Amino acid sequence: MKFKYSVSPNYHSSVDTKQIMSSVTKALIFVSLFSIVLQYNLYGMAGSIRAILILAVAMITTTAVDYIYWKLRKTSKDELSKKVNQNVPIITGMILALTLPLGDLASYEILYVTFISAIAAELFGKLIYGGFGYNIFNPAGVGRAFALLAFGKQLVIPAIDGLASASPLATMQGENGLTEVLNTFNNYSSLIFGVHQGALGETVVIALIIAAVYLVIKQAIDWVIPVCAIGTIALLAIVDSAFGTFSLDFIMVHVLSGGLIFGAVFMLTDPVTNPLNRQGKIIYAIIFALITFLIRTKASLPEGVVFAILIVNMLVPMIDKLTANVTNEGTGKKVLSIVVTLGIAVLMTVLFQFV
Amino acid sequence: MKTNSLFNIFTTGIFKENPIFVLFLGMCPALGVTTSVTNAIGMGVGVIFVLLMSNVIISLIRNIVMEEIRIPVFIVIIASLVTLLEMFMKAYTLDLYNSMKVFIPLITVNCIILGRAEAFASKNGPVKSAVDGVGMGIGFMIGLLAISFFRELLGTGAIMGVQIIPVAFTIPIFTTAVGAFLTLGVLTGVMMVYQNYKKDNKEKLEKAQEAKSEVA
Repeated sequence: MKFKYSVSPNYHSSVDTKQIMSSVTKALIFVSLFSIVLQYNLYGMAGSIRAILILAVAMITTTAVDYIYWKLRKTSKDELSKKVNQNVPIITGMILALTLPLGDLASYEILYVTFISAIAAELFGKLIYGGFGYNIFNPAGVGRAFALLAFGKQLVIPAIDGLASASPLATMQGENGLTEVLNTFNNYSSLIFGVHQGALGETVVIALIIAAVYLVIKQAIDWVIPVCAIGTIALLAIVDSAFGTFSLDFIMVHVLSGGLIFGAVFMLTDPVTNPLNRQGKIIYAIIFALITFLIRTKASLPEGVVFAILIVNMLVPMIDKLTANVTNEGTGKKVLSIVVTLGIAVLMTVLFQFV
Repeated sequence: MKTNSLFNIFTTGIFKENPIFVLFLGMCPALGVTTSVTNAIGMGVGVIFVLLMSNVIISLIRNIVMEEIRIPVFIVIIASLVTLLEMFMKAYTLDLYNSMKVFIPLITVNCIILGRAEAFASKNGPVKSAVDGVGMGIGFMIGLLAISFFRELLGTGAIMGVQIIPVAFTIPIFTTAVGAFLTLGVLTGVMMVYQNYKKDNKEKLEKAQEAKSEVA
């Protein structure tokens, strides 16, 4: 097992930050288009128009906040658009919009929520730290957490005809959650094809997988992060279900529902808030999976991806310190540290069974 | 202007050493009581009263009290003043008392009061101490008012009962502790930006004058 060392944002690798950002933008546009089509299937024209509006509001707001900020900082006219481009407000806006639900189709409150949380994402998530490249937290994650804490009531997902209300993860929290989920969602075929309630970008699993493969081929993201994150979730789901009625369906539901795939592909892999080397990235993904799983199964919230991303972002400096200056020597040590982290994750899941 | 003039002492507390935005003292009421402007005014007036009285009393007895036991003595004086204030508020402004409750006795442990007693009143005469107390108190109240103004406006849409923003457009997070920290942080940031801007301008002006005098 060899570990490659690459400093983000990858000065020495064959792709530069600009190329990474343009491939991420393309992938996000692809996912958004797929999502708009899916919303048309689920809710008709009103659904897809609402999806387009949310995306537009988020992108315009983040860009406008960026312009105003650099204007107030007295940036010269020639540099203004360059600075804004460097800050990639459009990506933040798009990711934020894709994590938001459609809201009540009868009222337009969700657009106000999008507007305010887009300001929070761009300003508190990115510009306060000095712009793209200096932020500690994932900006879109900050915006999403702000929306959840500030506007819990408005973040409703409209009901789909012929389907029970709650989203799969919310159903899972009830008694006999698993059988109920499998009955409602036709043995997870509807989970794969996105015929269930969820945020704009959460439910389009097929599009997300295509986008992930594209990003890995373009070297925009490191494949170990999503693979380790989703793999650990699956492992923890096996451990968890071994204490009740053992069933592999449990794993499928945990992996396919909620924002896990979206978060692992687009938010966890943000080059700025990542650990510097492979070993760190693996540990980072494992800790993310542990926190997500514990929030999902033990906390009062049905979904924990956003909070897990923010918490694990906080740990990145520590992970970097732990894994600094590792060369290709001493591979055994690195494998050991990864195994230890994974072991702790499994152990904690086991221990929490008795709490 | 002399650095020690009364006017200077007075303005120091309001701008240069504002307790909330510069010294970061008395954070407990600044975060806890600022949910509404009315509360902020009540707390501000209370703190001004206690600060003025404690500063005057402590500066009068500063030569009698022994070095070793000064802190307990200061605390006793401040605590009795706060008890007095609490009784007055209970007697005359019961509504305000009910909405602030535990934060009134907590004025005793408000760092700004003991801080001024230790840093200023125990070294200066009663007149200067009184001016310092009022200045610091007003600075504190301005901080509370600024924080509570934004929190009440954004969180509930109303200022002292007058609805300004429609309820549908409020951001309820600002009435919680998270909103208090956000508001405090942003306001401090704005203050810092303004001060840096002023400093830069001053330096530019000085440089320009130097250049002029060199040319001459």
